Amino acid sequence: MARFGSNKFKITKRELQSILDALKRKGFKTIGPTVSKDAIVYEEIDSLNDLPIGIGDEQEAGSYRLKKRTDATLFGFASSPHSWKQFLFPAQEKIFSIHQPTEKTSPPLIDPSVRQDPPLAFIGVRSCDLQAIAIQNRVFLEGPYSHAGYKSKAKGLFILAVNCAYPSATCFCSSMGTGPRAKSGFDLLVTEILNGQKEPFYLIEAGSSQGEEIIAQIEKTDATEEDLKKEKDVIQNAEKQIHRRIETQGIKELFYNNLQHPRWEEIAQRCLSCANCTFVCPTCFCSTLIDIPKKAQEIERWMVWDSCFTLNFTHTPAGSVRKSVLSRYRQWMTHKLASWIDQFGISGCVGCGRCITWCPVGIDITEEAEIIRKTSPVKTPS
Amino acid sequence: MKAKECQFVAEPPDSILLPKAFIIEKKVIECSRVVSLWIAPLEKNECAFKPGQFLMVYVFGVGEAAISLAGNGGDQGKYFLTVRAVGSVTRAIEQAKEKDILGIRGPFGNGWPIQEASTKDILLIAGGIGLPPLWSTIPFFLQNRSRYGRISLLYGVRTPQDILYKDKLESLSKGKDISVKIAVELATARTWNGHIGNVLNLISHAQFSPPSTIVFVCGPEPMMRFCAYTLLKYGIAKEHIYFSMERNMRCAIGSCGHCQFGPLFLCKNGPVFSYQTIEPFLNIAEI
Repeated sequence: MARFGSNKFKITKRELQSILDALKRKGFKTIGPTVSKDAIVYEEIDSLNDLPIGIGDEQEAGSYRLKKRTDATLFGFASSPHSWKQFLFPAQEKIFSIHQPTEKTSPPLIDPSVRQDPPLAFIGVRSCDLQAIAIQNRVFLEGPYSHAGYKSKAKGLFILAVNCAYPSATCFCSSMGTGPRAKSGFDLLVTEILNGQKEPFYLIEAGSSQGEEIIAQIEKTDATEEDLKKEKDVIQNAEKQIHRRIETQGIKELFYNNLQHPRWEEIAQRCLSCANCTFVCPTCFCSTLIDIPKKAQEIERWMVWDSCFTLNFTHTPAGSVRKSVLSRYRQWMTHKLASWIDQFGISGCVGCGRCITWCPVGIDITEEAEIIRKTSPVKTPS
Repeated sequence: MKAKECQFVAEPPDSILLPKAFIIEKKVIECSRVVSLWIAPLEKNECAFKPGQFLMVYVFGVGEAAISLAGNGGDQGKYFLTVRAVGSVTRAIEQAKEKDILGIRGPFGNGWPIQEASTKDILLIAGGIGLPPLWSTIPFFLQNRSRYGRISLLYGVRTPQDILYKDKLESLSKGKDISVKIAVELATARTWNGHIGNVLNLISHAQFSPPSTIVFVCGPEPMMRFCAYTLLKYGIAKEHIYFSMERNMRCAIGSCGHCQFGPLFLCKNGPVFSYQTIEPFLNIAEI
């Protein structure tokens, strides 16, 4: 098997555009970051001009603002309210439509929803989100059954990743072991380097044979020792900007031992149970199936995102199991950081910080995890 | 009854969320708000079931509910279900008529560990609508009766009117294969000529040797918990007590997240678990 990543090349913004063009010629729908309604979102992009040129962001618990940068970076921002999950696992997706003949004794006619979407190319995926995609691949593709809709989209996916240079204040990927440097799961990886200029240049490497084919078609020069040092500086500088962290040593046992911790009640007093954290989370995968009446005797069945923060989520004939906000927040955080490990052999948290930024009351998962660890009656070795 | 085990991944992935049309061949009203249905596939159905598995039953335009299988519907590929009307879907099932069509997905889940019961004394403890999932085991035990020790079915209901499968229970209790004991909570000597009180009281009347006894319990969660406490006092090992658990189920294939119980997905890891497995989470409220 060919080893990737050993060859790094220096390219300009123009060549990055050539890559985008090449992907479009191959039939990919190219999706990347763009500015919409005062936020950076992921949408279909046609050219690099659609990217947030010279736009950065400022994030804190419960706060997100765009800011103008003094340079012309394309990737000068951190995690956005969107994640790539919405393209592989859409917030709503039709499973089938069903027609019921008027007399109930005739069998209903089921018309499964057949999608023939073009393959997707994600432009500018951060290391934390690469890990999130890897996690959802496990969730949706490696069970006793695989998720057909997800599979069809994940199969032909092309990923152009970008090493994260400007983490936000809510980021904590380094402690989760998921960034800021991208290690695997990409077809191409670029590092945006400013070098004191307004216009950045890029180092690019392939992570797959498909990525290599693309690189072969563009104008490039071999990266010099100096270029590689600058790339290293970008990563080191990013690492220095990450201040939040979660201690992951023994974290599963920590949460299993603290299901009755008094801190849950304290969090529940602030938590609005709004479900924002689950929708911005790039790994949260809960869904439900709903019937939508279309016309007489015809119904569509859709799979839509659901959230463990809703009261209905645990509805049984005996009432909802998780009636209190305490139990719903505890379920979310314990699932993310502990039981996910039992279920999928991996943590459900990638440290992207979205749940912190987009919590309307600024509940901080890193802070809560630390408080529970420090006040745990059962000490977990660390 | 001959059951061909239903293999996981038997379905092509695209069809796992698509219900198959089944016709209601026969419907019987068991008691107030409880009906039994015998359903047959319109197209050939290769999937048999393991006792303790469940189906997703879809009523056109209303929705889908997880329903435990109570047994084989007579032939290969047919099913026998008993449903209590408690929500919108189960109310629609209750109102369905013979010859109506239902959508069926499944069977899903692990089922009771029938193999493990070999050579052991068996206690089947049911509370209310918890009887049908246990009922599905009985033909399996009867088919190879000599393989097992003493078998007792302990069944608790609220009132004498709530007793399901009255005729079948009566004929079963006449035979020597299974000892049947019924406890009624709300009754007087005039209305019920049998045990009055909680199903737990029946345990002391059952014959079993604790070190080699296996227990299958299905009923409301508090009843199952207290069953376990009582059985542990008799010296029955935690790993020999099995519960069939209930949570909200939407997809039944382990991807929608609703049925999580601690780290377990009830639909794909369960719904049957040993007390040993679920004990750490069972006593935590609203887990």
